[in-house]
Amino acid sequence: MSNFPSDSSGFEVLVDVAYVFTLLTEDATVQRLLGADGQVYDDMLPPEVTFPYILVSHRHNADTMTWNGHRVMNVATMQIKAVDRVSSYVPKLMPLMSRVDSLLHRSSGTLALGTVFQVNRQSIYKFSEILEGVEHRHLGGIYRFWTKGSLA
Amino acid sequence: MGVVWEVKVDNSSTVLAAQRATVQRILQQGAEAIRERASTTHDWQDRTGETAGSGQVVQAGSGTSLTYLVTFDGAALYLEFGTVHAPAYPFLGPATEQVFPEILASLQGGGFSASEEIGIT
Repeated sequence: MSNFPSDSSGFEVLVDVAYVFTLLTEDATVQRLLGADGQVYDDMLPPEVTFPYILVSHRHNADTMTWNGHRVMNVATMQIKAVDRVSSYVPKLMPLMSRVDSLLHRSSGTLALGTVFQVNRQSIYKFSEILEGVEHRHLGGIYRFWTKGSLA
Repeated sequence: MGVVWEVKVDNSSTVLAAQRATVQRILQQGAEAIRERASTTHDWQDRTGETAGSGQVVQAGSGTSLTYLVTFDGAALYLEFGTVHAPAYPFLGPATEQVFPEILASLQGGGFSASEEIGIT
């Protein structure tokens, strides 16, 4: 007989992605800074992507288990970044990702699929590349999620 | 340009001086384990072996600080974090996630703490 409350169930990393999408798509400031063509994507981009965009990519995850196999929660890291065709991070990408960070860092919430106990930023990600003569800049962070799934 | 994992130990000079060799051994072995895991466990197709074979362990820091770096060159940066045209296939980050708790546990056994960071070099 076990008095363990309930195991984490389902695919917690999908709870994390849904949580990020909910926060970012429902926030008026993020939507304004992304602009009319701006989008949030999960892992992959469409062939004809428009800029700027926000990309959420899974990096790693591991289950936290009790000694007798109860799954307590899942701890995952995600890369969340904005990309734009700009020659500087400051005018557009910095305010956009500052807003995203203020929504995510130290946040928590419950969705139908599960509960995100905590989100913390672990490090900043900053990268630039030139494609067909055009500067592209990436700005964001690596975020850690502590999540319990509640899929029946 | 490449991708780098860095682990840093900061302790009082007397403690670190007394146990420097022990801490160095723990960090060196941990860094080698990360390099090995990152080289052999990845989701991308390794056509030339150049990127997977570019892993290096480097010791840095002095005095009251000890730092070890695991670096990868070649296409490592683009694979780890992705580009506009290519999705990310992270390999060094996940390898550190798997090995770092073991390093930390070994260090804590000797009364040390450590911090880690992954980034671009």
